Amino acid sequence: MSRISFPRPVGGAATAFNLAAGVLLLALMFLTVADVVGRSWFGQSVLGTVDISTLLLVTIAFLGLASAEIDGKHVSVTLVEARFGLRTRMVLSGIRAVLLLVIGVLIIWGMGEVLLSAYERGETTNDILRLATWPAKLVLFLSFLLFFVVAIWKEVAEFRAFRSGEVPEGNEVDTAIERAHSTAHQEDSEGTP
Amino acid sequence: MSAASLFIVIAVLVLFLGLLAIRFHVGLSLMVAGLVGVVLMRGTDAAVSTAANQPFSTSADYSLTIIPLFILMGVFAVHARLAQAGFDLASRVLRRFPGGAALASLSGSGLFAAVTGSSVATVATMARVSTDAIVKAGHGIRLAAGVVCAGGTLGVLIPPSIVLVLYGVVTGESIGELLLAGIGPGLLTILLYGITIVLMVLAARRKRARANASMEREPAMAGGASAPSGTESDRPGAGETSGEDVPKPKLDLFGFGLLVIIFAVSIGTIYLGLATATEAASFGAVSAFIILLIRTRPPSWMRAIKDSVSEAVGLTAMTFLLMAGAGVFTYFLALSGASTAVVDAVLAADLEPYVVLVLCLLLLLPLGMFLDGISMILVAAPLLHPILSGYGFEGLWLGVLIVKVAEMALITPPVGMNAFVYSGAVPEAGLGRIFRGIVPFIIADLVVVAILILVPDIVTFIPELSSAK
Amino acid sequence: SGTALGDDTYVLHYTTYSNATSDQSRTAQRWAEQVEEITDGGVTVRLHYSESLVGADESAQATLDGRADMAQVGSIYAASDLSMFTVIELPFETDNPEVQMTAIERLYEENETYREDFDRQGVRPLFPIPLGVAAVGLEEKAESLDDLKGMSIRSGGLTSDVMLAAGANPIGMTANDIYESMSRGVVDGYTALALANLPTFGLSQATPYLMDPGIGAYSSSIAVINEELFQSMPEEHQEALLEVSDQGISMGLEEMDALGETACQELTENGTEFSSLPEEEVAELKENAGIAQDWVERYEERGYDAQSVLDDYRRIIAEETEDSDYVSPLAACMEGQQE
Ligand code: NA
Ligand code: NA
Repeated sequence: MSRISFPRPVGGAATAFNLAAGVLLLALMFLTVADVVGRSWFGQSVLGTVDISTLLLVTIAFLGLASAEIDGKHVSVTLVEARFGLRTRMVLSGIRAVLLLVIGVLIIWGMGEVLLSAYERGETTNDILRLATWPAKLVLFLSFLLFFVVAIWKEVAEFRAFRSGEVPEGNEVDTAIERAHSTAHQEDSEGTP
Repeated sequence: MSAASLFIVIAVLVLFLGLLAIRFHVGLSLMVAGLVGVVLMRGTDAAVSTAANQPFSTSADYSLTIIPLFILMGVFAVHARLAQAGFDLASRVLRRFPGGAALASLSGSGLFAAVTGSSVATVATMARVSTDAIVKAGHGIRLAAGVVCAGGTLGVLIPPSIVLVLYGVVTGESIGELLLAGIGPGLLTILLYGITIVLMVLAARRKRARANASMEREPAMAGGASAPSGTESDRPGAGETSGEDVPKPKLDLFGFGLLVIIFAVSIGTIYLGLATATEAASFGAVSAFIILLIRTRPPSWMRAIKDSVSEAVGLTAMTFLLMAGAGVFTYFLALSGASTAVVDAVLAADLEPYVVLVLCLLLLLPLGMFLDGISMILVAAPLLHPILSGYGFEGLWLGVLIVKVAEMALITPPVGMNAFVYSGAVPEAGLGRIFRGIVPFIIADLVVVAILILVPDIVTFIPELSSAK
Repeated sequence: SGTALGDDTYVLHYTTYSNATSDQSRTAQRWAEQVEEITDGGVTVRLHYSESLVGADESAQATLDGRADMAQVGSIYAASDLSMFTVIELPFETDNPEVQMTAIERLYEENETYREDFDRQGVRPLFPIPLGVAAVGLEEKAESLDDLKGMSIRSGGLTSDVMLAAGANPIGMTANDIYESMSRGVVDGYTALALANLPTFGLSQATPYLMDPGIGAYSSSIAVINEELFQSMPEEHQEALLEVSDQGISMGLEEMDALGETACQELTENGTEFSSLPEEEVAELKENAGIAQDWVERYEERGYDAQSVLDDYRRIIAEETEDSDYVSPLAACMEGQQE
């Protein structure tokens, strides 16, 4: 949907991460089924399913962050912001970009430390397999890093659009608002009394 | 709570609302506001640790595998055109009722939520399908948003329900009896939601009839002339149709049968004792996966699988970012002692038991602005349950009431998890419309709560029946 | 970190995974009340139950990095943070929780490797909190290892290894899921719980058979405080904390006994049948499982003198067993049944 173009490596990485999460999600699905089938019909479950599934979930949960940002899937409240003038909206976009940068640096830095500490202490899960947690934490680190790169890039592009006096076209949320306005009458005749 | 903490809590709330207002990501707004609070209360180190650890601790929970797997199951079912088949059939069956498609979608959400026990997963899964079906049948997105968001809350009362089990764990009430106690109120809620839908549709119809009578015709309105290709403007004569007048949908009975199979597999594995609710999600997803393979021709297999999985991954990331943000905020709230302080204030006021009960329940609503059902029970139940049972209220009844209101909080404006997730899945809806669509269902919920307070037997009679045996 | 409020008043945030009504939390509540009383309100403790502040496996880390001031660290969650503390996880070492508690305290004084772990983590142990003797709850009667074979048993930590050695099928699931899973037949039984835990999870009303597998006191937890914070406190506060902590073991055992008795009554009312694994089978199981050797090897690989910790643990157990006449709630309940 977005008309903002991302640098090729960034877009490619987001797609690759999304794909990887998809493969892991299918693996999670088949692992659980294998575990239950094994337990119910062969008296033998897959040892450590909980351990493995838990770490799989950690990676699946956030690998799609960047692609979701590119597709505009993340949730924000458009109600208030859309009512402001172009100039104010430009300023707000700038504030968002700065905020993203600050929280991004904070999280990435902290996650880097958490990752190092997990690696150095040899941190493991606490169930039967005692799996190392650092690979999952590395995936988290990379997922959030890519997410913030994409989000900041997108926000800066939006800021530029506002500055050149246009409502950014790549902003799906705004199109949604406009669509909502244009169908408002019709909506009123059909929705709540 | 000291004056300083009170000030910090208020400042953090204001900051949070401010961030929402400038269209900052909701998940990140929760996170930033919570972190500012942590910095003020415990310093920067604690804040950085919280932010850095929260994504891992939010997601490193086996029981949450249910979220991506049920989302995946739903997306597979949509891509295999099963959901459509189900809605078409249910709409046909419920055609005689005003708002048949909405009622069909309510039954779908109810069924799905009952199995998953997860509001958020239900909304993420059902949002697109239900909305398309309801809008196609001639109703507004508002109604669809209300039905889906409210429908998602049904699952916590109808077993299996992680939230009810947790309530039992936290308060020491019997888990088995709690699960049984949820059934009656769950059914009552479905009934009232159904009545709400019928009333909404009838009212809209009467309003339209009046409008038509008074001004003959106004062609510009129906099409939304400048609208981009949205669902509503695609349909010819969108503004005039209502549930009954819609041309009969072409029935895909085979597709409906397959849909039934998916539900049967995911529910059946639970009730046959093969799998826990968590594991059942995988069975549902696998069966939907196989059916997707059957329903798409071999060359397009890869594309169908890739599209479905990619969509599920995106929805999952969106959901977990919200949960991680809520996690940071929960940590801050726990630290601040705000909830404890509010409860203490209520106690100090020395009021009638029922007034205290209502006040305590009202306290849950703002909590639901930031927390999901599970976090809310973990935070609130240990505080409220002992106080209220101290006033002589019955434990099971109290448990169901608190869980019901906690779940209500997920759909009350200005911030409700379900509404956000819905807006992520149906971006063209817009949060304003979503919340306006939800309001009638909140009223229905209030009626349910009032009935439960007046007629406690609705809660207790099923557990009593089973223990009488 | 820490929450000093200008004057010498301290508010300590204590995080636990246990819920508010568990014996572990009741022990912490009593500890907190006494500390507040003794310091005349100079130190107050805010208890956060059920992982509502931080998760169970993060509690040691969180105490170090400032997200919490105090934590209940479960041995089952401590493999990466307080590795040597997990020696008390080892099954078949003692069936006397009082002895196990005393050993946890004495190891800190008597074994350097064990103590260094806490120092490196930046936390100071205050008092141990007992969990009790591992029981196996079952849907069907079992009296021997043969009966356990092929059964799907919910377990956790090292009890999973025991179940594996017993030929059973260890299943990982949270304690909250056990009730439903038992009643639906998803699992045939559960372990990694002690008698006093059963009411908490609704299991004292849903366990037709209860077996003592001979694992003994297999796990427990320890309340710790951030060392830097502790050192920053005025001396009289430090002394108060340590003084009340000296009562920790007896308070913990009292609370555990009280809940264990409740569980015993409920089980008896519901007609639960008790059994225990014959002694020679317990010995066989211990031999097969070989868990202690594995434990030593795993941590020697990481540069710990784990053998010294195990040796000292066993020595202390032998010494303390002579002096203790404590009877665990499970043993007491089973004795009562036979009368
Ligand atoms: Na449910
Ligand atoms: Na709300």
